[in-house]
Formats: sequence, structure tokens, C-alpha cells
Amino acid sequence: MNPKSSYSTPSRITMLSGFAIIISTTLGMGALTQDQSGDALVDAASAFRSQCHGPSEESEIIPVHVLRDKQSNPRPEWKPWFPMAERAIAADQDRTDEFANLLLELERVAGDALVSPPFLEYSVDFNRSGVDSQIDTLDQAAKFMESVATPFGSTHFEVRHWASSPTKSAWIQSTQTANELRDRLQFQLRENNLHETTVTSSAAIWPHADRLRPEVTILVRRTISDQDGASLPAR
Amino acid sequence: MAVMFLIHAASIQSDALRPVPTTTTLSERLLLSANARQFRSVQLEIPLSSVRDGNGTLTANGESFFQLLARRMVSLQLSVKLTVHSPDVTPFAAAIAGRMMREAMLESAQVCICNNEHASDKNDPKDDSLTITITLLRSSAGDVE
Repeated sequence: MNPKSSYSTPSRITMLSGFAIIISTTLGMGALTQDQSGDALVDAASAFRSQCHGPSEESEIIPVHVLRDKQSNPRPEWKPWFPMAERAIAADQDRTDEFANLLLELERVAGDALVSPPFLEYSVDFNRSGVDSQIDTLDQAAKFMESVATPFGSTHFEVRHWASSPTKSAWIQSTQTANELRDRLQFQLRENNLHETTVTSSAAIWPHADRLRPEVTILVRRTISDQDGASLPAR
Repeated sequence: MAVMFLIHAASIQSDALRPVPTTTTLSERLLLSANARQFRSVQLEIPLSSVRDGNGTLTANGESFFQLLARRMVSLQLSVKLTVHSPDVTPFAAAIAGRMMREAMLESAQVCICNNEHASDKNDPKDDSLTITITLLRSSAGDVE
């Protein structure tokens, strides 16, 4: 018996088909990873997992409202060296009365609420650029925080980490990463005698499919005096 | 040559007369930029026992509470931060956040989760509570001053 009969060499068509499958899979995966929100990739992974009857509870997709870059939303005129993120709020109108009504409703369930003084907020994204490591990104973030921090503690920082995909497990992981980043940045602030500055952390799902997901976003909040007296109920 | 000298001297003079931009700090420039907006936030602290049952799932009270909040988040464009004080509660907070986003189709950045474990600014945190910070946009930064 000829051994070649059981292990026949692949025909040219078989090889070409194999190459075509490999190339199309690579292109498909490449296209999926372009989605910065991670929505497309996790969608494909979920479909694959369901076909293989794998566990899906932790990787259940959280439906996200992925934002595309809005042409109508103008970028700030002043161009810093880092990209600034804009908070996704469409209408710029005062809805304090409605908010106060909501608070009354929520307080029936939750008890007393603590109303903060008004504050200004802006956010700054820090991206890992080229070969720079995460440490360089954090150094950049720390320098920025030192430059805008005020000595009397009226500046509050929030270190936000963005989950790599819209799943529960990625979100939980992201809260842990945000905590680690917060600890490291807070340590650097203390090294520079900014003991009064408060730093918190948070994790959220990146809302933009076609905007680079930052390594970390720093939200800066500065308390301002309540000049116009909002119509929130006094407590 | 004389004409060129005069033009050069005039340009130096005009540069000298040009108002020097006032020195502002980076922070001030950022606050004055279009990116800065004025917000107001409200913090509610609810005991976990009122929203989580023995099996670790959302109670009926908790469900109605977060449904109400999610609906109003859409109409008022609110953002909500769920702060837990123990890492064990993080999955529960993620489940609540996911459910709110699923039911009200919120924008991703409207909900965030914070694990306040070991935070330096914590004020007597209770492991058995969930802090909800609701933030409302008041007006643009230009209206402040």
C-alpha cells in the first residue's frame, strides 16, 4: 500500500481557499479592533461563544449608545498639547426645577440627599503615544494635575479609566485599574506637597467607536460660588 | 536702505504698542475654554440591604428606584456615578449600571462606577452602602461670570 494515498498533498485550490480564509479572517478581526468602544469585537466574540455553548453571563454585552464624532459640536479654540474630551450633553438649558422634583422623588426611597455646591468641570484625555509606556502617560497626567491643582484643596480630580469592552467583566476590571491609577497619581501629588487635593477614580464604557480610547482621562472639578442661587430645595 | 530701516523701525514700534497678553495659568485657560461646563451634583447614600436581596439580586424597591433614575437620566441628561466601598459590591454595581443602560438606552459615559476602597478622601465609608452621585449640567461656563 502506498503511504501517499492516505496523506495526499493538498491541491492548489485547497491551499488557495485556506489562504483566502486566513486573509479574510485577519481583515475581519482587524476591522473589529478598529472599534474603540470594543462593541464590535465583543459582539463577534459573544456570537462565537454562543456557537460553542460557552459561559456568557460575565461577558454579556451591555447595550451602548455609541457616539460618532459630532460635526456640530465645536472643539475648543485653544489647542492644548493633549486632546480634550467634551461631555456628551446635547442641550444647554437649565433644568434645575425638574432636577429638584426628581430629587424629591428619589428622597422618598433613599432618604436625605447631600447637595454639592456648583462646580466647573473639564476633562483631559491622556493617550499612550507611539512607543511611550503607560508610565510616561501617567507622568504626563501627574504633571498636568500638579500644574492645575490649587493649594487649598478646591480642585478635585477624578481619574477615569475606560473599559476595553461593553461587558460587565471588563467594567469590573476597569474599576480596579482606575483604583491603581488613582493611587499612583495621588502618591505623586503627595510627593509634591499637594496633600489637600482629593483624587477619586471611576470606570466607564468608552462611548466613541471612532475616537481613540484614552489611556486615562482626568476630570478636573473646581468648586465655584453659588451666585445665582439654584432652585434646588434647601436642606 | 533708509526706507527699509524706517519700515523696520515702524514694525518694532507697532510690536511694542501691541497689548501684551495677560498671563493666565493653565487651569484658568482650561476653565475659560469651551470644554468647561458648570455642573451641580447630588449625593444619595442608600443601604445595600434596601436594594439587594439575599441572593445578591436587585430587590423590587431597588428596581423601581433605578428605573425612575434611568428614565430621568434620559430626559434631564443626567450622569450618575455609582460608588461602592468594597470590591465585593462592584459586580452588583456593574449589574445595576448595565441594567440601567439596557433599559433606558443611556449614553455610555452617563454611568460610571467607582470603587472607593482605600480612597483617601472617604468620609466614614460604610461597606454596606451604595453612594449615588447624580450630576446635572446647569449652564455653560460662559454664563458663570
